[in-house]
Amino acid sequence: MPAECYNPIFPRDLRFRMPSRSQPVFFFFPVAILVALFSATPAAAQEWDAPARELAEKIVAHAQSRTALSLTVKNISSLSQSRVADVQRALESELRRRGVSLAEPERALEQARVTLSENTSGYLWVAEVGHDDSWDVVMVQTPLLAPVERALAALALRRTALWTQPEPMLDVVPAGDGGLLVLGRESVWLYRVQERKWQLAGSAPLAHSRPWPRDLRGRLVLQEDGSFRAYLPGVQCSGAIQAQLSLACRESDDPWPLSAGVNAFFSGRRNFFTGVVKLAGSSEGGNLDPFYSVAMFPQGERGFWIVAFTSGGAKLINAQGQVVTTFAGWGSDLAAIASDCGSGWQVLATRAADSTLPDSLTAYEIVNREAIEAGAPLEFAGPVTAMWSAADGRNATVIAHNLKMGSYEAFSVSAVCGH
Amino acid sequence: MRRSAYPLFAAISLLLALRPAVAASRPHYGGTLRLELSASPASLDPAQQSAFATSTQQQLAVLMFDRLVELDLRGLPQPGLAASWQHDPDFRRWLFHLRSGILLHNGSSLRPHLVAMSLAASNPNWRVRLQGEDIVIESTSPLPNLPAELACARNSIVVHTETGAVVGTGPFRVSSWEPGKHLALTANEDYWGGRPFLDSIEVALGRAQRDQAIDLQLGRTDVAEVSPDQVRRAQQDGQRIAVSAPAELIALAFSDKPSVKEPALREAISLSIDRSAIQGTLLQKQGEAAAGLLPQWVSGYSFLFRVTADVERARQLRSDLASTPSLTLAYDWSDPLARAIAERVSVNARDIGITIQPYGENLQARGANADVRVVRLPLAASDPAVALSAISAASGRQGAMPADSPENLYAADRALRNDFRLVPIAYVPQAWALSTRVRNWVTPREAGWRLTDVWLEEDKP
Repeated sequence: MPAECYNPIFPRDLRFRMPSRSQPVFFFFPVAILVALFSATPAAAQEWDAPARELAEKIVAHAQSRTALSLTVKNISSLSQSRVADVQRALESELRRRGVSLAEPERALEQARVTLSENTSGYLWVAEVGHDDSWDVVMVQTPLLAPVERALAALALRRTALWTQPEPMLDVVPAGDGGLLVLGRESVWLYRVQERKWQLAGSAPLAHSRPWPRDLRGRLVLQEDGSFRAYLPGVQCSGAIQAQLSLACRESDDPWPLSAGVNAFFSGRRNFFTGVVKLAGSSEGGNLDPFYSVAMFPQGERGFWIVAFTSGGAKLINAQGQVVTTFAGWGSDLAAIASDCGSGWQVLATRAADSTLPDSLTAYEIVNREAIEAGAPLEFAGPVTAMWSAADGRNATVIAHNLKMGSYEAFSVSAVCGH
Repeated sequence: MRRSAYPLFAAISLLLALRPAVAASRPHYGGTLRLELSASPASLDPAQQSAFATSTQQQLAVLMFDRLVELDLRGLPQPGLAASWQHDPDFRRWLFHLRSGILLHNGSSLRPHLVAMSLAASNPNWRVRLQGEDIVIESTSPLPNLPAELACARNSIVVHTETGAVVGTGPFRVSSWEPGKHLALTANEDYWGGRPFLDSIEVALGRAQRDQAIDLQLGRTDVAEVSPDQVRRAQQDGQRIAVSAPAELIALAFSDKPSVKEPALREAISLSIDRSAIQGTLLQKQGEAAAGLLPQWVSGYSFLFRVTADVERARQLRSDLASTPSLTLAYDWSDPLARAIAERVSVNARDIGITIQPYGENLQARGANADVRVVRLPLAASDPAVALSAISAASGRQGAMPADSPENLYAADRALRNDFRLVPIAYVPQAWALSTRVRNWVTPREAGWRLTDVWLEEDKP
C-alpha cells in the first residue's frame, strides 16, 4: 500500500500522514513548511532507528565475534550525504549497544560492508559480513522518504495545501460547515474534523451509465443553501450535507457554471467545453470554438476573456468578440483570480507540457494586450490536472498529480503582494 | 462582467481560425499513431507467445486485452477488470470482484466464467473457480504477490470465440490483422477506463530497425525502435528518444544437448565473459552488465554479483574437463546487437580454450538447434519476486519465488543460476524514437508503452 511506502521525516505528532485509501488527510501548507524547515534533520535521524536496529541485529547474528568489527557504509541509493551520515551514526550506535567493538578496517578481525541500495520497494540496506572468502549477506528493506516540498519564498503566488489522497480528485471545495467536499472519479467524499483529526464523514457514489472520458473533468459548486452540485461529462448530481451526505445523479447535458452568471456546455464524452455558452437564467447565448478553460476579467465597464482553445493556444478576446492576441507557451488550464496586487486581477496559466511532466502555474497581468509575468512560477511535483476559480474569486483550486508519490494534491492558490 | 462580456459571442467563432501557437497540455482526441516494430508475431493470442516472447509482443497484447490488475507507474497494483480483491491470511486463496458491465470487442458481455477460463488456461498450477460473480484463485503455495503477477501480459483476459478468433476488452480493438506483417487497431469507444485519445493505431511488423529510422526521418512513422547501442548517437543527432530503465535481460540459454551437459563447461563460459566490456563498448554504456537475473533497480542487490571476467578460474574449470567440444551459438538474425554479443562471447570463450561458433537464425520462427542461444527476456514486472518467477518459468522451471524477505529472493536468484543453464550478460533498456507530433508518451521503468494516454498534436504547416 502506498501508505506503507511512505517514510515521513517529521516528528510523529506534527508530520503529515500519508493517506490510506479510506482515510485521506488534510493539512495546511504553512504548517508543512515550518515543520519541514525546522525539524527535518533530527526527525530524519530518528527515522533510521528501526531499520538500523534490525540490520545491526542481523550483522551481530552473522558475525563470528563482537570484537574488532569494522563498519563501512557505501551509498548507491538516492539518499543524500547527510542522510547517509545519519544512517552510519545510527548503525554504529546500534552495534555498540549490542556490545560490538568497532575497529578500523586494517585492525579488524571481521568486516561489515554495508551498501545503502534501493529497489522498487524502497531502500535496501545490504550488509556483507565476514572476512577473506567467507561472507554472509543480510538485508533490510525500508520505505522511501517522501520528498521535502521545497520551501518557496518571495513568490507572488501562494498556495495552501487542502487535501492529499491516492485516488484522483477532480475538485475540492469547503463544505461550509467546516467540512471539505472532495469530488473523485466515482464518489463524492465529505470529511470533517472529529477528535482533532480529519475523518471521513460520508461518501456517495457518482452514478453513471457510460464509461467516463479518459481525461475526466468535473466540478463541485456549493449552493447558498448549503447543498451542492457536481458537474461531470453527461452527468449532473445534486447533493445535500446534513447529518449524512446524500447525492442524486442524472444524465444531463445542462451547462456547467464558468463564472457568476455565465454557463457553458461540456462535451459528454470528451474533456472540453463544446464552445456553446449561455447566460444563467436566460436563453441568450453564443458560440465559441471548443475550449478547455476560460479566465474572465472585468476591466472597467468592459470585460475580456482569455480562452484556452482545444485547437491550441490561449487567446485574448475583447468585448467586441475580437481575438486581440494569442499567448504562446500557455497550457490549457486557466483561471482568473482577484488580488490586492497590480491591476487587481491576474490570470493563472499552466505550462504547455505533457501530463507526464511536472507542471507550474504562472500569474500574468494583462497590460495593453500583453501578458506580463507577475512573479516566479509556482512549481508542482507533477501535472496540474484541474484548476477552477473558487467561489470567492480570490483563489483558484488547483489539483496536481504528484509524480513522485503517485498521490493527488489539492491546493488553494492566491496572489500576494510585497514579497 | 456579465453585461459587458456577453454580446461578443456571435462574432467570435469567425475570428478564431488562427493556427495554434503552442500545444495545449490537455490531451486532444483523434488521429492515427503509426508504429514500426522489428518483431513479427504470428499470433495475437498472449497464450501462444513463446517463452522468449519480446517486450514488444507483450505490449501489443496490452493494447487489446485487459488484466484483472494493472500496475501504475510506480509499479503498484491498481484495479483493472477486477474492481477490488481480498485474500486469506496465508495468501493461498484470493477473491477478485469483477467490474460490472464490461463488454468484449464483439459486443457481448464479459461473463465471469470467461475470465476464469482464461486465467486457468494460462496458469495450470492454480485452481480458478467462480464464487457467484467473483473469481476465486487458490494455490497450494502462498501467492503474496498475486496482484502484481496478474498484471503481467501473459495473464491477459482472452476469450476464444467459436470461430477460433480471440477477443478482448482492451482500449483498442483489432480492425485488421496480417500475421507477422501488419496490425490495425481502432479505439474502443466503450472502454471502461475511458476511450483512448487516439482514433487508431497502425503497426507495421517485421521492419528492420534501419528501415524504421529512415521511415521516421521521412515522416512515414511516428514511433521507431532504437537499439540500446544506438541511443547515444540518436540523441546526439537531435532525435526525440524515450528510454526505459534497464528492462530486458540478454542472456545465454544453454540447451539440453549432451555437448553442454557438463555444468563446469557452462560455468567456465560464464566466467570467461567480460560483461563490463560488453556494457561499455557494445552497449555504449547503456543498460548495465548483469550477472544476476534482475536489474539493480528492481532487486537492489544485483551489485553483489561479479560482472568482470574471472579468466583464471574459467581456465581452471576448462582444464578439469575430460573434453571440450566445439559449440554452436545461435542468435536472432534480425538482431544486430545479439550478433555482436554472440561474437564477443565467442572471443571470450576462445581466451580460455573453448571454441564457440556463432551463427544467425530465425529464432522466432523455428527455434534454435544450437548448443547455446542468445535470448532476450523482458522484465515481466517491477516486482522482484514476480519478475524472477517469470524468468524462472521462461527457462523451464516453475514455482513462485519467495517474497517474504530480500535475503530469500537473493538466495533464489543465486539458486536459479547454480546450474548455469541461463547465463545473464546484460540488462538493456528499451528505447524509442518519436516524431514531434507524439504527445504524452510514457515509458514505464519496466519498458513497454501506455498508448491509451498518448495523443497527437496537429500537424503544423
